[in-house]
Amino acid sequence: MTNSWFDRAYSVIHPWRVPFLLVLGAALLLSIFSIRFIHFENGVDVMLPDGNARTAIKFLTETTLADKVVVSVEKTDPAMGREDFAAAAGRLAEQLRSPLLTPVDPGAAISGMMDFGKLLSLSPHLFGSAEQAGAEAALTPQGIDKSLAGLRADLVKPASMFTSRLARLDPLGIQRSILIRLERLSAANLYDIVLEDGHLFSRDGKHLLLVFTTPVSITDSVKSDQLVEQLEGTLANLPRGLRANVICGHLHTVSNERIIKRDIGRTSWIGAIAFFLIFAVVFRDWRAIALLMFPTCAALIALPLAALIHSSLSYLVAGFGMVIVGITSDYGIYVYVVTRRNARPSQAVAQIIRPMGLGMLTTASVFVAFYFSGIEGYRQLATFAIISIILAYLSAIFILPLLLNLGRETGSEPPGDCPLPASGTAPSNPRLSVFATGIALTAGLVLVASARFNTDISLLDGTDRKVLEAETQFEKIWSGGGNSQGVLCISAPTYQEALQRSEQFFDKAAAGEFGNRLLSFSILWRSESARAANIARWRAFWTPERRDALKSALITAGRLHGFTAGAFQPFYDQLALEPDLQEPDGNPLFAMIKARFVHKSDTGFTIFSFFPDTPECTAAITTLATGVPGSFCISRRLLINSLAASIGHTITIVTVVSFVLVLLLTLLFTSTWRRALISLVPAAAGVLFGLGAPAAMGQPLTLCHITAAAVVFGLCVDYGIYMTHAIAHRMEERGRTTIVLTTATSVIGSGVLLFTQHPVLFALGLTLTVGMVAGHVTAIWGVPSMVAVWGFGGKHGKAGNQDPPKGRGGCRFEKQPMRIIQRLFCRKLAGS
Amino acid sequence: MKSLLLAASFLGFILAPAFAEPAVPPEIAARLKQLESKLSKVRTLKVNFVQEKEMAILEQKLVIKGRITLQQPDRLAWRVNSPIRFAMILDGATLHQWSEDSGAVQQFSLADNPVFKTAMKQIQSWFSGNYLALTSDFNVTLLHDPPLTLLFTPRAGSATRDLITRIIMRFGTDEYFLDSLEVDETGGDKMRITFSQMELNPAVARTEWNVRAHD
Repeated sequence: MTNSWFDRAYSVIHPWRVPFLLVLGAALLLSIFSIRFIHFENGVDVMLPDGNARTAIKFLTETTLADKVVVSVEKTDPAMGREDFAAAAGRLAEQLRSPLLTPVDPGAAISGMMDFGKLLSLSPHLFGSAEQAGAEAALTPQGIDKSLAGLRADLVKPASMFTSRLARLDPLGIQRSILIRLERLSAANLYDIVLEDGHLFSRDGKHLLLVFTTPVSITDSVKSDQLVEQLEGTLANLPRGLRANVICGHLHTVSNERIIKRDIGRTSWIGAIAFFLIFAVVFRDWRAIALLMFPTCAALIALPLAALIHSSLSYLVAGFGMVIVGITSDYGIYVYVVTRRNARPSQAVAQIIRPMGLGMLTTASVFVAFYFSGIEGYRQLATFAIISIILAYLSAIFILPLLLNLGRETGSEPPGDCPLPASGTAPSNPRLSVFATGIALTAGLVLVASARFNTDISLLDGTDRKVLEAETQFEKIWSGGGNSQGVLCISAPTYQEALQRSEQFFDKAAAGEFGNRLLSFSILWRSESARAANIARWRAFWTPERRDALKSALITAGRLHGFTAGAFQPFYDQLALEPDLQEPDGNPLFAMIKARFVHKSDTGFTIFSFFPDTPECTAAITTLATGVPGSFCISRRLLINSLAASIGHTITIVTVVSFVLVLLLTLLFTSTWRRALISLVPAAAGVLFGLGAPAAMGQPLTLCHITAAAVVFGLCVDYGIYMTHAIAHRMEERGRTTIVLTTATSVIGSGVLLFTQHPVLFALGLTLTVGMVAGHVTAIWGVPSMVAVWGFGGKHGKAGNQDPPKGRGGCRFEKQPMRIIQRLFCRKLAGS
Repeated sequence: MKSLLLAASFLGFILAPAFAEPAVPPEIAARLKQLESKLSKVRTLKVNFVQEKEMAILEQKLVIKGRITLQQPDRLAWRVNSPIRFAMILDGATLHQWSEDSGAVQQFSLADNPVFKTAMKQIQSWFSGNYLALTSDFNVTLLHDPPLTLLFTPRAGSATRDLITRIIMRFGTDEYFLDSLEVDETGGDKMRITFSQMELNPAVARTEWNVRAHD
């Protein structure tokens, strides 16, 4: 008797096969049409674990930090003078000006600094207790006399025309702290820049920096493409004597997308040709093309379905499509091989449903483990892969036989042998083969042990090498050997709340060891409540009586030093101004500083504070920031540390879950522990060599290699299961062809990734390809030897004692604790 | 990530539109080049000056007397003898100042002080003959020739526009150096420097660049 449920299902579908196929065809066309509406992402953040690192990257791409475009211009003609160089750079800036690029004028900062009146109007807002103490000390007769004497002496100096105006506004230097704060905030830069004549030069004068703002978001790939095209077009026609490099996040967006699209196209063509050739050469049957069609159709239907579930997909998920096609083409091959010589296709398929189902489950279980990874990209990949696998499996057992039309049901016929593939003939010297397998596995273990793991996310970045080299060169020229910078982001729904949180943090940090190295907006501008308190203090101090007394003292003392009675009238006028809480929006310097430190988004406001990214400083700032609501730190150091921890956690979860699932499934379908362990040896070989390959090439291991190794584990365990099963049931030689073919198609699917440029795709391809080849070879040669040497254990001891009962085909079960469960899943195949 | 953090450092620059200012008239640019060419033959220069300042804050005109020493390409010594003794030595990107009233030497790095740097750059350009460099901040008009008299007025958007309304430079007949320099400030203050006893390419002792060395 054939498998009753499959028979029933097949007998229902068979008469309706044409409409059924039409409906499926329509579903395929609809899926292909809907692919163009899928929102694909090309960012690297989707491949990062959920948590601080991903939040940081996402935040950086969405804030004003990402709207700058920097062009580093180099003077290649040594004879070019500084002025000519600056003039040429100025002309280049004008050439680049467009709706997408607006030059920034660094000289505006100087202009803002010289508008002393507007700057000193900020004094009441900053009049803290320290400032009050300073004012009290300056207002003594001795203090006034000293200040005026110094002022008089300053008038002799050549720069006095630039500073005398300030002297009229603040003869006693009471408000100098504002200028010190402003200068600290506006002059501080990560990079070693010399501002000269309104231009940003490098110290050696050979490079000049042009800074632009752009309205194009780096997540907008279409506009980013236009922006990059404009930049490339203009910079391709530089005048002689100049060379330029561009630094901006948009280059990464565009480069990543170009490379991924090119890789997907390339792998599709190479894979299609390779698959076509293999099917044409081996099967020599035009109907074998269906074996490739169904996995492809399954993937094409799975893609929009996965996009529906996740709302968007990473391009890398689409790039993995050819691997999925390679894996899922196995099901069609099995069906084709077993049915082409069988007059009763339903019976032939029924005999392999469950072993195929086990293979499908072990493969799918690895992708199930990806849901526990905490990485959005992997979850997307898992959904895509699982849907593809299930659809390919169902289409292989229900639809492929319909299409192949391999004969009709002719009535009952004696069932043949259990048609699972791969008969293994034991090698002539099994002990030597076992020993060789052991040596090979040990070698693999040594390779993996020597591998180094790297959590640097730049290894996942598919950006063109030229772009990355340009950035490295840029840092060499402009960094001055200093440390990189970290950013503390403090967010809140409202501007005032963000200011309050920022100043609470700053006041705490300022008292610490690294307080003077922290650049915060709170240095200059506080929350409304803090400023209201300062203004109240200012009003209480600068009473009309005090102002009159000071004026009188200044006039008297000033006369002695040759100053007119009205010399400091601007100072008295400024003291008499009634301060308010409004922000000085008209002050370009204030606006400039605010733009640097405050970011407004749909969800609220974020205040940035900058600090040197040294281990001590970063640790101190992160510790202080703990407990500040809405805060998180972004720095290269933190990112690396956070990723190391997250990725370690992800690897542990994924490998444990996938290993447990695969092991459980293996135990369910194998009769003894020894048989289960032998079945797992190809999987172990696949993992060891899959991870050892990058190590042998001198490449560090990344998260991509580890996850690919998990997939290898799930795929290669099938080889072991099939091989042990074939040995137990003395399968025919033709089964070897089947398993070689299935490995070949899987290797083609992963091998095409070796032709890609994107590091994630290449890493996946390398580990998958080498791993599957190693697993296959171990299954074909190592497993039969191990079975010959050790047997399966249990009642039957070594292989060869497992003759199936007469008249009955199919599996035979040893008396083991798993017997009851096995009976549920592996019924007798012969009629009862 | 690196490119984003890298771009963060450039937040500190405000957007400012570049005004379409007229270029320097060719005849004036040629004249300035001629002046620079003459001055390029001058490696060192010493000249006495008398500076008169009419300032709204002072009861009387302030008269300052002293001497300027120049050594190309980037050294300038400004010494004042009267009414107080003062010395300022500009050596590349570093400035040293000494004043008799404080007695202390102050040192500044101009690279770290953009406001001061702008001021010193202006002064250096006036006295070291880098007149073409001034055209980025000033419009130049020929008032008289000979003797060559040039009027400099700040361009829109220039950092000095808020401080200076005009500068008039008068050159001597040999046009190696200035005869006088007048600066009108926006607050109404005026400054006039007249130069005398000019020495071209004299030997300059090393002590000249010592801010504490006095006459």
